[in-house]
Parts: sequence; structure tokens; C-alpha cells
Amino acid sequence: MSDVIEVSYTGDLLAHRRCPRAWAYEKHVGMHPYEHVQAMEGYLVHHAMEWLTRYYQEHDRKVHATRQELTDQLNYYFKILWGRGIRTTFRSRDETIEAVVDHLYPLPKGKPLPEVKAVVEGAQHEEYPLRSVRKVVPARFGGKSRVLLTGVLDVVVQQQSTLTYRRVWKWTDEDSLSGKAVVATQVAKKGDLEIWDYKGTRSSTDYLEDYVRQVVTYAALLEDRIGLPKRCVLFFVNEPTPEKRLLAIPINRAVVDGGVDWTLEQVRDLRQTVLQMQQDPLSIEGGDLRRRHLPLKERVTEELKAQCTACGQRFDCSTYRAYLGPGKNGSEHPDVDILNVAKN
Amino acid sequence: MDTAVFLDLVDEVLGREGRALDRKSAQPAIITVEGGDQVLQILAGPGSGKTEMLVWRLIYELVVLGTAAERLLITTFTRKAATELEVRLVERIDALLAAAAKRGMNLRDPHVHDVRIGTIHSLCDRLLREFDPDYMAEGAELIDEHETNVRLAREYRFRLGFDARPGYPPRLINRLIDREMLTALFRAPWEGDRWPANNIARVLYVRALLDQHTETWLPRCGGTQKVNGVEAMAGNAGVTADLIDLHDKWMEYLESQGVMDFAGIQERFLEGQATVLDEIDHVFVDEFQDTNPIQLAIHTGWLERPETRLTVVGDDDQALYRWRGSDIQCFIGLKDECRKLGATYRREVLERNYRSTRNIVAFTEAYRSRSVLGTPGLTLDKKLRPARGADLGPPVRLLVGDWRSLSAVVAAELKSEQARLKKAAESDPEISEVLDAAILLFSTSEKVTRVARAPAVDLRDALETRGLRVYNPHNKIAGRPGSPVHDLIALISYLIDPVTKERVNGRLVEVHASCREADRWPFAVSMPPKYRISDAHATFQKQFRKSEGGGIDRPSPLHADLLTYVDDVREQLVTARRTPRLSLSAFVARLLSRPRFRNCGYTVSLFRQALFTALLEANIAPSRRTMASLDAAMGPVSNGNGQIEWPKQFWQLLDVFGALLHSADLDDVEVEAFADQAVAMLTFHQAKGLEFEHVYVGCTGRDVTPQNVLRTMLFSGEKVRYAINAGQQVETKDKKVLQLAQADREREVYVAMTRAKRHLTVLYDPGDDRKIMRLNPGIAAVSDGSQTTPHPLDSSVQVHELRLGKEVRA
Repeated sequence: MSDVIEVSYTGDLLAHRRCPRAWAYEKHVGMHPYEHVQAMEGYLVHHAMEWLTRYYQEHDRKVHATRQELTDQLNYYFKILWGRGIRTTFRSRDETIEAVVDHLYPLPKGKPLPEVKAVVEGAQHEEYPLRSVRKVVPARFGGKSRVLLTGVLDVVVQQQSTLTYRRVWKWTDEDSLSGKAVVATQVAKKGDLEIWDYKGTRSSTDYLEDYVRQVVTYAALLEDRIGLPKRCVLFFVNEPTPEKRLLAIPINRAVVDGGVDWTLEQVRDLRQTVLQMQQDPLSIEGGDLRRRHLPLKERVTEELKAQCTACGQRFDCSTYRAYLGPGKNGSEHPDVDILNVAKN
Repeated sequence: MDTAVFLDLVDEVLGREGRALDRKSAQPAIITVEGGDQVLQILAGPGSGKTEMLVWRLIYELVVLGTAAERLLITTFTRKAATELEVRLVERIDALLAAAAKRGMNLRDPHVHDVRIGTIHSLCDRLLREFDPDYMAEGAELIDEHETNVRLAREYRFRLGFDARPGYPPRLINRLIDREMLTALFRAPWEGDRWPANNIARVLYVRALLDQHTETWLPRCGGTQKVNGVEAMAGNAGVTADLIDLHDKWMEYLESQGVMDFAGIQERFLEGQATVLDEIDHVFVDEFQDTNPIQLAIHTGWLERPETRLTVVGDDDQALYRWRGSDIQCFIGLKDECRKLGATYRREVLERNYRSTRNIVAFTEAYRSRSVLGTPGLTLDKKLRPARGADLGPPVRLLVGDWRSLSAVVAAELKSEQARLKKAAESDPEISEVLDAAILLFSTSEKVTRVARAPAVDLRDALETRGLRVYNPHNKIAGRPGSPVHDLIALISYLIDPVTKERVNGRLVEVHASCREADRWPFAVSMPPKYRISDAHATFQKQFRKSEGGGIDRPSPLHADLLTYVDDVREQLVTARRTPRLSLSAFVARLLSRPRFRNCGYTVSLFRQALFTALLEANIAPSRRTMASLDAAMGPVSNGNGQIEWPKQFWQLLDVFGALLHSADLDDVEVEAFADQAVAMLTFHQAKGLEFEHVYVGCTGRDVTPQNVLRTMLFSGEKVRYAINAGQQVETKDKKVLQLAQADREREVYVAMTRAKRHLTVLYDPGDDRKIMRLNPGIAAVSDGSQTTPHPLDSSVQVHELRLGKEVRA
């Protein structure tokens, strides 16, 4: 019917990279997941940042919200999310909200962190919806001729004063878009244009390279609109170590172009999963796409495990079962034991 | 940038797409936003490039007038149409910026991503969320139709007022059902004369009443409190007051729950539109012919601010949704409406068809102009023409024969076409091997009864025999035995209220806790619920357990492992030493991992599993803010008598969910994923907005029924004479009503036929005397006298070829 592959950056591409099998059943076929356990903190973090920015703008760009006001707002928003079926992982409501507030307005001062102030005061454009259409060769994309890539960039920032980054992304191979985060100093000057993406994970995430490629691609998609920004920034809002919260990513023409090419390759992989699903759904293996060359039991990282343990498709997932191994005395591991009613 | 340069750039961009700007047509006048423009109505025939023109007019606003993107709003009919529009907009603006840069023009970022595109419901929600502090504070969530039905089913007795017990005074819903002149307006032609007799039929009736009242009566009569037209009929005093009461109670309920349904969000937006007026400069409305009165009120409501512009595009010959509350009068009467509001009005017409061949355009135009649609005054004046240089194309065909033979011929033709495409794609990577074909029928129901076999069933059989996958989302059989939807509710029913065979009063009988016979309750596995519930859920359970050679006391070997598993889970839940954490949804996830469900391949069965999870969610969501949440761990306990006691919310789930699935003919969801690489079998309504290389059209001659027209007129406060016949269907002799009703039928067929790009074939079986199988008289008239030859694949099928394109100058 349609010749367009509609792809959301986070909902499809990154989710597919984490586990093609879970993506195929939940996103492609439409199985409703029974728990959104991973989402609560992420939703709260994004809402907090968006609300703080709006608050500042509504107060003539002069006044920041207080810690108590932020807490009250998150309490209110928590109820809305709960009503929509979004759940916390292992913590209570108060603990979850307190953790988010502590990371943004740490005690004992209870004032916004410098990086929070910087992004709130410099925000030019929040929740920037990105859409880009790329023509592709049908033979390479399973009969489709166009890709609609969508994503939501958290914020475009024009710095209002200097800000020092203590962690910087170092490109080790620009062609393959590889690199690593290193301890180094980079200073944003007043007026620098940047794009920021908020992350609810720790800075040591397994998916750091994917996040870097994502935000670099966003820069490419935005180029026609705002020109190339000075740098991209990842803000790990739940990172406890202050100097690790921000990661500055230098960009240039090569990496920006490479980001788009890399993204289209991911769309191609995703389309391959669709075609494979159409032939034989059971043949799609679970686990991290990047680890497909490794034995089954090595394809689940610690971070992915948090997703697998609440996944509705885990009971007959050979990858996850291999990762868990058998339970006590050779019995079924309790995490995939379909008779274990002590676990949801 | 001035207009001339802009139009040059448009010409350049479109030229690269193979269709330059037609400067002699209305296109430049449509693209250009003129100084005095307040309302522009674009009358656009099928395939005339209305989306293209809408997009360029919007880009003109951004680039030439410099309007901020977030101050532009486009409403589309579906989310899919919104995506198509987004794609087109992004493609065109990128191409325009590139073309401008080549000429040394440095255009500023038009922030095209910020243009507000969506369905009217989603846009109303988003705008209120952004600009109305009260709405924002409420945190209301928009709910879909499934959830609306579930909420109504759970609440209508208590919140709205219904009492089925004989001898008790009739409550609100009882009164509305008892009014035959009202009920008949909502009774579908295929429903029996006792409709609405069960719980779910009552829910669907109440919802239809709420929608029609909110979307038609409120905007047209609410201000003046003009009485509903039904009230003028004898014995119907008080209808208006009852409907107002119904509406108010339902809105009160929705607000108390922090949710909003589709009708409610429009009303809420209309009330709060003043807070948003200053935020928008130009509103674009696609598919305006399917607008309902409340939507018209919203669209014209923007004109309260004199600087705001409104551009609407549509085709009155393609209005299809009167049955869902839209009124073609909103489109036809826009000029008069503008006059009343004092708004300036301009109309432009797009008559060239860029989609279809000359033969198809000539045939469909002949059909349109010779049918009632060609009656002066009934529709706005236009004449469809082929694009300049359009191919003559193959002749339009009318295939006449036995339906099964026709089905086999269709399948054989499509299989052959698929093979041709595959071969072509092997030598040229630019060619897509995906078969682009649709079979369009008035009804695509695949229900098979003892006396009738639905036409869609034969088509599916024929296509699948040829190895072609079929996508039919409106089949009405998604919940039938053998479907995962059916089996999963059966297994939930078995978990909570297993049916057993017991000796009661000396007789071996089927026993379960929610059965009607109180003397059986002490023998049930579960303790009976505290109040009577529908035992429709048990029907699913019994059918499942008795299928495949099984019985209540001897499970089929094909089901034994699943039933044993459910027994074990029940046992574990009751006897577990640690507090169970297993929720109902997680139980279903475990079931879905069993081979019976998992090993189904990429078939409709897989998508029905997904449908079940969505329906379950619609049942769980309303309970989340209550103490008895269905999200919580299932906590059955064993009572002192050896029976299992389940919390009340699980009985409520069985009551509502079981009855909903039992009484409603469930459709599959429209999911793009399954449509991919399949032959689409769609109703005329579903085909709207789509186009295909190959189109087969069947079931074109349904009866002309006046109920939808009557409903619109009466809820608009008009007084029209009508009666009810012995079958409890409405009848009228009103000429205007009958003419409008006939036009509705002809429009459906017109929309279906104009979806074809290159091959159009009409199917007709003269030996089948069912009403929907008749040939539409308009098609018969156009094809009369055409040359006939036997079909090369089956000589029993006669081919009438129509080459009208020769007579038309392109």
C-alpha cells in the first residue's frame, strides 16, 4: 500500500538495536506490553526538564522553579502516568520522584545544578519534532522507496553564559562513527548553539555509542533548519557523579553525513527483520543486535537484562534463556518459569 | 520572496517529479494566499492533486508570507493521512530550499517540523493541552473507541441509568430504548427487530446516541435549545430532554475519570476555542466533505478572529461518512455559512485527474454525471478530466459470471501480475516487486452462516489458493472460534470460573460459578460473584474445550497442555507461600508463549493475538484509578468451603469483556504491518484516500436506505415525516431524503472506482440474487451495449470492455 517506511528513532531504531525480537512483536505486530516498567523514570525526567523550562519562560526568564514546586509537579504527573499504566521498577513513588529531584536540585542547597540552569535558560526550542524523508532504492529496502525518519530532539540551546564540560566524546574512527568518552575539558561560550538530548540512564550505559550517533544524526536532520550546531550534548540526568552528567560531542561535516548513512543502514536492518518476520517469526533471535556474532548467552548485557526481565516475550526467548542458564537443581530459571506466580 | 519567483520554484520542484505546475488551471490561484483571503474552498476531484496543492499553499504561508510554522494547522481524516502529508511537506520544503539555494537565495529556516498536523481529535487535545490551563491541569487523556465502549458497558447501568428488572420504573436508558421512532434511526438494516436487546447492543446504541447528539444536535440546536426532530413525531415528547440528560451524565463521568472520548474532546475544544484563537493564523482542512456539524463549528470558529484564514479541500462526490455523523451540507453550504459570518469566500476547482488513465477517468465521469450525482443543485458543479498527456490505458472491464469463477479469475490475474513484477524487479532495482492491488467491496465481512456465504470468503479462498496473502481488516470474524481472541478469553474464563460436570439433584450437568442456576453454585470451583453477571465468557470456554474432539470432562489432546497449565497457575495462585505478583496481562503473555499461539507464522492469527492484548488493555485501563485495579496481582484465595474466591474486579472483567466479544462482530485492526505485501480487500469506505494500480470492485448494488439521512436531519432539528415498517426499519416518502440516500450509495461506488490508477475491473454475478450483489444501475447504464468476449482464463466469465477514453480529449 504505502511505499514509505516510517521509522521513529527511539521507538524503532534504538529499540530494534536492543532486541529485534521484542521490537518485532511489540512495535511491528502490536503486542501490548503488560508493563512499562522502564519508562517511568524516563518520562519523569523529560517532563521535569520540559516543565522547568516552561516555568522559567513563563516567569519572564528570570525565576527558576523551587525544589518543592518541582516535587509537587512530579507528584501530579506521576499520578497521570500511573493512570496510563506506566509503572516504577523497584522503587516506591516517593523514592522515584525524590531520586529525579535530587539529581536536578541536589541537597543540601536544593538549587538547580549549573547544567540544569544552563539548559533551562538557554532553551530555544524544546521537544523539537524532527521529520526527514530520504529516497532509497526499493531493492535494498524490501520494496519501499522512501524512509520517513522521525524523532524528537529534547532541546536546542543557545548558551547564555559559559559552561564547562568535563567529559568529551573523542572520535577514534569517524568513518565508522566510533569513539569513546574521555575526561577532558571543553568550554561552551555565550551564544554557542547546541543540541541537547536527555537520557534517563547512567553515563556508563552500554548504548553510549548509539546515543552519540542518534544525536549526531539529529544534528544532520536539523542542518537545513538551523545550520550545524557547535556541538551536541548528552545530559545523563540520573547520573550520580556530577562531572559525568554532561557529555560534549564535537561534530563536523564527516560525522554528520556519516550519522545519516549509519541511520539508513539501521533502517535497512530493521526492514530485514520485517521481511524475516514475514517469512518466519520464530527465526528472529532476541538480544542485542550488536552482539549477534557472539554465542546466545553473551547477547544480553546487564542493561538489557532490565528490559528482558519484564519482557512479555521472554518465556520462549532462546537468547534470554541461554543468558540466565538453568535454575536451582537444573529446574527452570524462575525468571522464565511460566508457573512462577511470584514474579509478574 | 515574491509570488512569481515562488511559483517558478514550485514549477521547478514539481517538474522534477514529472508534473510541472499547470499555470492555466486553478493551481496558481490555490497556492497563492491572496490579501483578501479569509476562506478558500477547494473543490477537488479524485486524483486531482489536492494534497499537493494544500502543501504548496501552506509552504507559501511559510516562505512568502513568513508565517511562523506553529501558527499553521492542518487537520486530516486519519493518522495515516497525516503521515502522508508530513512526508509530502518535508519533501517539498527540502526541495524548495535546495532549488532556492541554487539560485543564490538564502531562505530562512521555515521550521516546517512545527506545523501542527493531525486528526481533529488529536489536534484539539494538543492545542488545549498547550494553551488552556484548565485542561492542562485536568491532565485528561484521550481514549479510543474500544475503551469508550468498555467504559460505557461498565457504567451505563449505574451512571446513566438502566434497569432491566420488570416492574421497576423505566430509567433514562430504558426510556431511550423504548422510543421506537428513535431506536429505529440507529438500527442497521441487517439488525433484527428486537435490537438493542442485549448489553452490548445497548452500549453501541447509547454511544451512537451520544455521538450524534454531541456532533449534530449540540452545534446546530444547542444554542437555541431547538427540539430534536424526533420529538415532533407522535409520542416522543421529552426526547430532547432525555438526550441532554444522557449527554450531561456521560460528560460528568468522563471528567471524573480524567479521560475524554472522541466526541467529548471536540465539544470541550469548542468551549475552550477562545483561549486558542490568537495562536493560529491559518487552518487547513483536508477531506472537508466528511465534516460533521461540530467540526464545522470548530473550523468556522477560527474565523472569530478576523485575521485567521481557513482553507478547506474536498469533493462532495466523495462524501462517505454520513453513517458516522458527517453531513455533506457542511461542505455544500460553506459559502452560505461564510456569508452569515461575514467572512470573505473564494472557491477554486481542480478538475484534472493525475491518478488514472483516460479510460478510467472517462468511465467514472460518465458514471458520475449520469447518476443522481449529476443532478444540478445536489452537488457542486465540476467535471472531471484526464491530465494532459495521460495514457489511454487498458479498457475498463466488467466481468460477468458465477462469483466463485470470478474470484478464481481475479486470483489468477493477480498471481500472474505478481510474477511479472518479480521478474521485472530482478533486472531493475528501481522497480518494486510489491503487488499494488485492491479488491473493494461494499461489505468485506467473512461471516459464513448456514444459508449464506459472504462474497469476501470466496475471494479470500481463491487468493490464498494461489499463494497470495490477503489483508482484510473489516472481516467481522476476528473473535470467531479458532481465533486467538476467542481462545484467550476462553482461557481467562477457565482460569477464573472453570466449567465442570457435576451431579446436581441426580442429573449430570455443567456447573460454573456464574451460571444462572443457583442450585449449581455450591458445586462450582469458584465462589459465585456477589452479583449476577453475564455468562457469555463461559460460552467461549465451553466452545474451546469442546472443539477439536474434546469435551468438558475430557480435553482434546490439542488443548490438554494449555488447560493443564491454566489449572496449575490457578493452583499456584491459591497455594503459593509467597504473595503472588502475577497480573492478568502477564498471565496472557505467558499463554502467548505457548506453541499453540507462538507457532502461527506470519498470519492473521499473530495480529489477532496483538488485538487481544489491546482489547485487554482497554478493559484494564478504566480500573487503574480504582481500588480494584486489574493491573494488580491476581489474588484469589481459598475459602473455608473449598471454593476459590476471586476479587470482584475479575468478575466484572468476565462480565463486560465476555459480553463485548460475544455480542460484537469483531474486526481485525487496520495494521500497516500486515497490509505490507498483501492484496488489500477493503470496504468502499476504507479505500478512501488510497490508490492502487489494480482495482477490482464488487457488491455495488446495495439497497438505498434512508436512515442515515433522516438521523442527520432530525438531530439538526428538522421535521421530516417517516414511519417504521414491520421489520422495525425506518421508511419515508420524502423525495429529498430518498435522493440524498441514493446519492450516498452512488458516492461509495464512485470512490471505489476512482481508486484505480491503471486497471479497473467491476465484478458482477447475475445469478446471485442477494441485494448487495446486484450491479449498480449507474454502472449497468454506462456499460450497456459494450462488446463482450469470453475471459481467456475461464470462458464461463464474460468480459465487457469499455474504451470510453478515446472519446475524451486529455
